[in-house]
Amino acid sequence: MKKNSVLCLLAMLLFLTACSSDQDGEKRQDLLPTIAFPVASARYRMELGSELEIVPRYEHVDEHTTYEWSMDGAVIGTEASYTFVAATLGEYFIKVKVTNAYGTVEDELKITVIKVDQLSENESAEGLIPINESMFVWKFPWTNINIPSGRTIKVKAYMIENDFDGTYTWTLDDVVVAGPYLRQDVEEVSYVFDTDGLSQGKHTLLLTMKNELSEVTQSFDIQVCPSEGAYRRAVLSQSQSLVNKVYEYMPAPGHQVNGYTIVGDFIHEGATMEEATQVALEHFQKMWSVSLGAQGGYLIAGFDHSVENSGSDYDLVIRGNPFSYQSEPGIIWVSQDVNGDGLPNDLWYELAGSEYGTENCIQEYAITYYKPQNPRSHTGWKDCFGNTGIVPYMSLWNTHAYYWQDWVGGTEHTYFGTRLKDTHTYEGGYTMEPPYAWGYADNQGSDYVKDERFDAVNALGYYKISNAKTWDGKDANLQYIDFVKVQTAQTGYSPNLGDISTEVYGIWDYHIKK
Amino acid sequence: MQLKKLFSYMLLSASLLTAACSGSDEAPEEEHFSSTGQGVFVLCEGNFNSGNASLSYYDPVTKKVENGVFQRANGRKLGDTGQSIILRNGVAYIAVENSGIIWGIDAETFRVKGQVTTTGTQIINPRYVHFVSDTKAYVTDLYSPYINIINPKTFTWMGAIATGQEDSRGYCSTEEMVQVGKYVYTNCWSYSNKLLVIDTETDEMVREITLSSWQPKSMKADKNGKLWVITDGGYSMEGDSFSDNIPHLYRIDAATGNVEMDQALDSDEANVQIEMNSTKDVLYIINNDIYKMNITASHLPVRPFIEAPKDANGRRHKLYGIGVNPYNGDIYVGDAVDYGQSGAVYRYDANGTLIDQFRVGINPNHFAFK
Repeated sequence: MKKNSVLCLLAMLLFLTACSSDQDGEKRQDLLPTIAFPVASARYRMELGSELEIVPRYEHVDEHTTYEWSMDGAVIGTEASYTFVAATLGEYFIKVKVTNAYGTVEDELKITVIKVDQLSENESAEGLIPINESMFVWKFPWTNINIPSGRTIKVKAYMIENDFDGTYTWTLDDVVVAGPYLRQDVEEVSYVFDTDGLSQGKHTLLLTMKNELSEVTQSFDIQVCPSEGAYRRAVLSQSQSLVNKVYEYMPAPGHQVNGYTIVGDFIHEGATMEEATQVALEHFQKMWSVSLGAQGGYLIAGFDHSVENSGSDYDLVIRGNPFSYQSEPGIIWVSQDVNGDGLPNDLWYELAGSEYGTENCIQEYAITYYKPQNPRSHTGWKDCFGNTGIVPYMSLWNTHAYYWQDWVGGTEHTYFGTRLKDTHTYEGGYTMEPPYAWGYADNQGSDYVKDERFDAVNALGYYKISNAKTWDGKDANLQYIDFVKVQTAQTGYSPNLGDISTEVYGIWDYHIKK
Repeated sequence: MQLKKLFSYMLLSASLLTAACSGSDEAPEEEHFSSTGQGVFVLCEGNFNSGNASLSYYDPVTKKVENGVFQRANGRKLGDTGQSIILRNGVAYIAVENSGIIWGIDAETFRVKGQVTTTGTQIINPRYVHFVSDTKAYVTDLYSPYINIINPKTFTWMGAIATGQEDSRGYCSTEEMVQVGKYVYTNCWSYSNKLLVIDTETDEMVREITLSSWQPKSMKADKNGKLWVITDGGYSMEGDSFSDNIPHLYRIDAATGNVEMDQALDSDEANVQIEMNSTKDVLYIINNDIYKMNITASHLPVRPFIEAPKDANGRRHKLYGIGVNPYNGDIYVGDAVDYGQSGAVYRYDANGTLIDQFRVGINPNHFAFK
């Protein structure tokens, strides 16, 4: 989050400084780690000779957090997870101790090792071996897409769990095109769909995972469309520079999500996606903020015409509220309406920024947020690398029970995209969120400048369609675009300002605006 | 009576019946009691079909226990299979299930003040009594598809609430009752996985809550209006089993019926039970041993608060009942030992330090604090 005005921020900082030590203590207590075992009762039953990796869900942990597993006083592990081998019958008590900057908490679990015939027939179905530790899971950013002739797209399975030596097979239009192979034998479970040689129209790609327990298939409908240009919409005299529709508003959890103390409720409780996108568009029309929440949260908007790629000049204008000391960069994506249905269900291209291709930029990133079980709690997350963390609950900024919008629904949601390395620092009560060089929304880079023709007070961000890249890092060479997606790029939060969340105040076609 | 032990009871009772029948016809004397302090009633279930339920009375100040006080004060037997005891306005109401009786005795003299009598099978096998008011109480039943309504002052039957539950293996069980606002919640124990919600203004069942595991055995309500329910998960014994014998602990929001917590506990060898302290923020749970849990904790601790005693062969005693003294937080644990011999009661302070222990009748299962 950032200031709505410098005054507002100052007032808040003063307020924070004025907090009594009691409140500080309470805040720190509030930021202690939490531990939740996958088996809710912390009582595990294992067959003799079996192995189980125990992966608790933690909150308020980061890369500096330390873990200590112990049994009968002896340390047996220092990782976030622990694998127990049920070698001998009996009861075992295992402690896990988790330490972050605010202190240490510990919890204890019990493992009862029993003979196979002591397990009742329906025990696994009854949940003693928890479903989330044994159920096969995979995730996909999309299952239907439109792609122009001449392009390729990578189809990839994310966050695979519990495939138990399963094999993967890709089938395109009833013909096996890859596999079967084991996951450990490949870098990733993915397939590059190439339109070359394929007819226009629908093609069905299937991914099947098969192991001794089950066979699971995911279907992808891929529509091969005419090459770009078929549905290009010309700029007319009445065309407007501002986007005319917000198609999707999917904020990740954040303290400006589902309420915000400073400006009050942004969108009423119980709102639908349709209502939410309408409110977002109205905000853009007034140049008000729309927060995308934490990493992965996004908004998709479109124009009433196709926006031309000028080749070398800027094409898009996106306003945020960055400062040199406080930038919350968002990745910008663009897309063409290649099937002409007026909906953003087509291939996306990332606009490369200064970090593209460097170690600061993690592409094909996925992050799952979990709605807290209890109100007024931090929201936990886990990413595709197994990292975990939180979006902090901060009643100073937002007193609503959950930072989770109703239309997002469910108890967990996964966002896919590109992540930028978190660069913020917090020292002596002061948060520093430095910008990257250029190419990101809500980022005080070299391309975020004042143009008094538009706005005498505030600066705006300028972006080039010519920076659009295909999934494999090549220049996309798009002639035009129809849709824009902006997505929060960084994870992380600071103790006083909360989660890093990109804000968008409007998206314009620079060629009309100027 | 613990259903999972039904068959072993029957075997036991066959041998005990002879003993119970012989020498029990002597003309009894009636003793005069006058217990005015804040004593503790201990109901001893006895053995099924043996007619040897009994009542003990313990004075926590003098640490003196009087066993068999019902028979001693009244010159007659308490009955067969004492299930529950509850105090109201100086009267202790005792449900004796296999005798189909609810006694009301004076809490100071232990003399019978009344007995709920019903015609036919209105009350078949009474389990628990819950007071909606001084003149209206609900009685649950092991077999009846009705919760009976009685007037505890006059010991008369007033009516019945249809539970709408179908017979399951001959049982149509309703068990413990707790009240949150105007609604009474009861758990259907035998061969069921339901909780029922009853509107005390209309005396009608208004809702069912279905659980993920079988045989909800015990239930309490906390200070936040949450129901804490423990199932025994059925039973498993030679030649017969029902479900998986894995107890589950639930926290359920009474207002909405939403299950907020569902945790599988350890396979149980005796009797699962929930008790709560007087401020209704700490749970005591029997699951082989005794566990203590704050209502805000994320799970039941894995280490027991009080461990069940073990016999010379290392076999764990069967802990059978638990009560918490509302005046000082002392914890009373009923030990059925092996179900056959006289039981024991252990009294602990709130920190789990043993204060006293004494022998009582067979299978101590329920406590009432004056």
